[in-house]
Parts: sequence; structure tokens; C-alpha cells
Amino acid sequence: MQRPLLVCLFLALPWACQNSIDSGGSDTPAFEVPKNQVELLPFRVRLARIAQVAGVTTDDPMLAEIQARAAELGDHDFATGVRPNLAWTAARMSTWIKALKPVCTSETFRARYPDLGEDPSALIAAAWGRSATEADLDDIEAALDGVAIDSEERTQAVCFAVLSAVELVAK
Amino acid sequence: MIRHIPLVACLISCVGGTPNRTPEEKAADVRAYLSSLAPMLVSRTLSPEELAAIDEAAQGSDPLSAIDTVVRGWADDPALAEAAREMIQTRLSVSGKTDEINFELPGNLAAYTVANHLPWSTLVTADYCVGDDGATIDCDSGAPYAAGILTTRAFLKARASRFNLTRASTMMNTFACQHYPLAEDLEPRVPRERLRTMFKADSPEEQEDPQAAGAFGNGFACYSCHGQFAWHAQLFVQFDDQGLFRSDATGIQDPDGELGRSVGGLFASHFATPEEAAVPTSQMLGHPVANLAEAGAVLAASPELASCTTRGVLEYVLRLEQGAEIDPALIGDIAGALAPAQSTFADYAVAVFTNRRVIDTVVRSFHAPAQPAGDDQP
Repeated sequence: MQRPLLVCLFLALPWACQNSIDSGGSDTPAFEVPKNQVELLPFRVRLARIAQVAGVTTDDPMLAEIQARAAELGDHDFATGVRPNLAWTAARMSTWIKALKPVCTSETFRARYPDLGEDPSALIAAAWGRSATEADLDDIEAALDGVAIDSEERTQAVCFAVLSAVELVAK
Repeated sequence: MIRHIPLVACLISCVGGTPNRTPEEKAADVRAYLSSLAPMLVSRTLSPEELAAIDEAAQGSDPLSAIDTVVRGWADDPALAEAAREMIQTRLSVSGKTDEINFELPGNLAAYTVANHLPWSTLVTADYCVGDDGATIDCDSGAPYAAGILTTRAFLKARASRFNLTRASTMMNTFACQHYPLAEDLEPRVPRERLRTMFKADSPEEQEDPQAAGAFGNGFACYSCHGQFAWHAQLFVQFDDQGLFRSDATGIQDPDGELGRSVGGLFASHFATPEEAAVPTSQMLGHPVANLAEAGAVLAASPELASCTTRGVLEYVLRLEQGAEIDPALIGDIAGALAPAQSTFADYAVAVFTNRRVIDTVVRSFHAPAQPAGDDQP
């Protein structure tokens, strides 16, 4: 084998497989995965995820406010001309947090996450599908640092933060 | 020989199975991959059992085996049916209700099909509809036959248009991913002489119908598309603009109405003779059919349905734009292994998301740098 070709192969082969999840995959992407825009999950998926985190079914009264605000939260109702809107706008964030209040203040939910205000790890694990990292907890602490709120307000704020995170609403 | 050792080592590393990434890194990639699918397919995050399966597989010789295990496990998750509902509703733009029409019927049928492990092609072959309570019911168009979603008033009303062009194009786009003009060998055209004058032309010079002299549609090459539209639109000639079956349909142009409209809220046929214009006898993908039910059966057994469903599942779950550029070889590889008339939605999901090239493409996107934000980014 010619030396230049050998060198070329030597350099190229590790590069070709370095980003594959394991050896043996194709090195040509079959399509482009959109990466930049935050696009909300379909409304009914978000609803189901909150229900799962809360340990209730989607028709539980705890979720009635979310259901009632479905159109504002981007659900579709094509029969009346409403198309899905999955943009994560400031207005939609505000509506989402208002709709979450009955969840975050319900006794059932609080019983499921009794230490929520002080340690949101259990809620993060349930809501985001992974263990909380130090960085996650630091971010929450930093956001609340210096804010004059009582214990109940702190618990609600942590709940809203976790259940409004992109990791839950858009991924 | 010694000077070849680095090359041999590299080849072994890349092809022979020696991992380049640590078990922890591989587990993280598999976890990220499955986590990106789970919300859209089963409306949740990964369960502790699924996470444990990922970690366990990463320690073994085949870390990707966890993907197979987890995705196959989703086949029995009740939430999978809701994913199918959402996919169909957004693809067809049908949901909700009016006083007259239940636009949930197409989504209900999709959810029922998945929940009962029926072939996905049931969507165009079912001789029943499914109510909001999940029970089978008679369909609502009043037709003496049924073709799943295609004979629901929701579909028919939402896609009503002159000459039945939108019904035809939506059917072919949604279930076969075909756009006009189709390949001639896939859908041979109606012989020109059987069409209304305006659809026979291939150039301005050939256009003899003054109503079409200004190229009212998309140019002058009318026959190229309408030679195939004619077949598919004809299947809908007996359904009026409210989605109701009308045995008195004639398919004849209303002399006092807008071009493409027949009388009584019906739409005009492409065919020239009253005998052909009035009946739904037609052709689907080269096969003669008597009506929409028979056309649905042809679609259901076609390789185009398998390819289109493969593409649709990939687009929906990964949130690609409809019609996104996807390597046709990938679609062909996946769809080629699936039997269109028998494969369930779960079969498609498993085939797509355990495909090695899909996995690699998605995982690489996690490691790729984000593209620069445009001016429209907040």
C-alpha cells in the first residue's frame, strides 16, 4: 500500500467513527435534526407529562386549569380553525405557570414531593427523567437567592421552575 | 508488516467492535437518544426500569441492545395510541367538533388501531369508525362502503374543494407521500380523450377550453397532473361539500356555478362523458377500483404506504418538517422490511428507531455544535 494512502486512512478512520454511538455506524447523516428553536411538545404530551409527575390521570381536577387553557397553551382545535402553536413565548410561559398553580398547591402533589421547597431532586427526577445535578440545584438556588419569599412561596416557585423547564415542556 | 499495525488497529477499532467510547459515554448517548423519543412516542420520560436497562447494556458487549429493548417495550404502552392520534390529527389538520361533525373520528381510528395492535393500513381500510368512547360505530358520511379515515366527514369536509382536488392530493400525500405528477409507471394517466377538454392540454397551444386559457391553475401542462388527479378525484365524486354521500351525484359541471363545482354542493368530475363522470369507478396506483373502499385497499397493500408511514413516523417523533429531506435509501431500507398491509404503528416505530443509521444521525446531532441563531431567534 502506498504510504500517503496509508497515512490518509490512518487519520480518516478514527475521525469517521468518533461520533458514532459505537463502532460500525454509517458516517453520513440521513437527515438533519433541528436543533436551534425551542419548540414545545404537543399540548397533550405536556398535559400527560404533568399528570405522570403528579401521579394522576389527565382528567384529574388538579389539571382542570391546564385543560381549560388548552388553546392558550398551544393545543389545536382544527374544527374551529385553531392550529397548534408550539412557540414558547412569554405569554405562554405566564399562562403555563398560572395553570400549574392548582398542581403545585394541591395536597396530593405536596404529599408526593414533601421536601420540594428544600430539595427538588425528587421532582426533577420525575419531571426531567434524570437525576438532579449540582448545577441544577445551584441554578434554582441562585434564582431564589435574595428574593424575599416565605416557605410556601418558595415551594411554589421551585415547583413552577421545575415544571416549566424546557426539559419538561419541550424535550 | 509492522508499519501496517496502526492501520489494522484502527480498522479493528472502527469496524471490529472495539468501543471508542466508555460505557458511561455510551450509556449517556443511548439515554439521550431514548429520552428524545419517549415524550413524543409515549408521553413520558424514561422509567427507572428503562434507565437501568440502558446502564446494564452499556456494561455489556452491545450497548445498543437497550434501544431495542426499550422501544419494543413501548409497543404496549397505552400512550403510543395517543401519539398516533396526534400524528394523524396534525397531519390531516382534523380535530375538535362542530354541531354537525365530529372531527375527532380520524384521530379516534388512529388511536384505536394502535391500541388494538391492528395494521396501520386500517386507517384506509376500516369498514367502521370509532367514537369518542373508543367503541366502533358506523361512519358518518352515509356511504354504502367505508375506507377508514377517507370516508369520515371530518376528512371529506376539511378537504372539500373544486374538482375534489384537495381530497385527492391529501389522500395521496398523507398515505403514499406522493405529489402530482406521480411517476407514470406508478399511476398511468387517464387516456387523454376521456377527460374534459381543459385537462387534455399540455401547452397553451393545445388548450381549447376558453375557461382554462389563462392557465387558472399551475401552468399550461394540465394533462401532466390532471391525467392522474382525474383517477383519485373521481373516487370522491359522490361526496358533497359537507362530506355526505350522495347517490344522485352527476359529476357534471354546474353551468351556473364556479368552475369545478357540480350542482347541489357536489364537485365536478374530470371525465368528459356523463356516464363516467357520475360514478366512482376509477384507478388507484394502476389498479382498477370500483370506489374509495377498493382504492383504500390498494393503498393499504402498497409499498408507498410503508414508505410514507416510515417517513411520517420519523418526521413526527423527531419533529422534522413534513417533507424534510431524508435519504431515500434510509426510508427504503426500513420500509422494505415491513409489510404494508400487516405492519402496526408499533412495528414502524420499532423499525425506525432501532435503525442504526437513524440512531447515529440523532446521536451525532447531540454532539454537533448549534447553528448560529438567525435574526428571528429571541
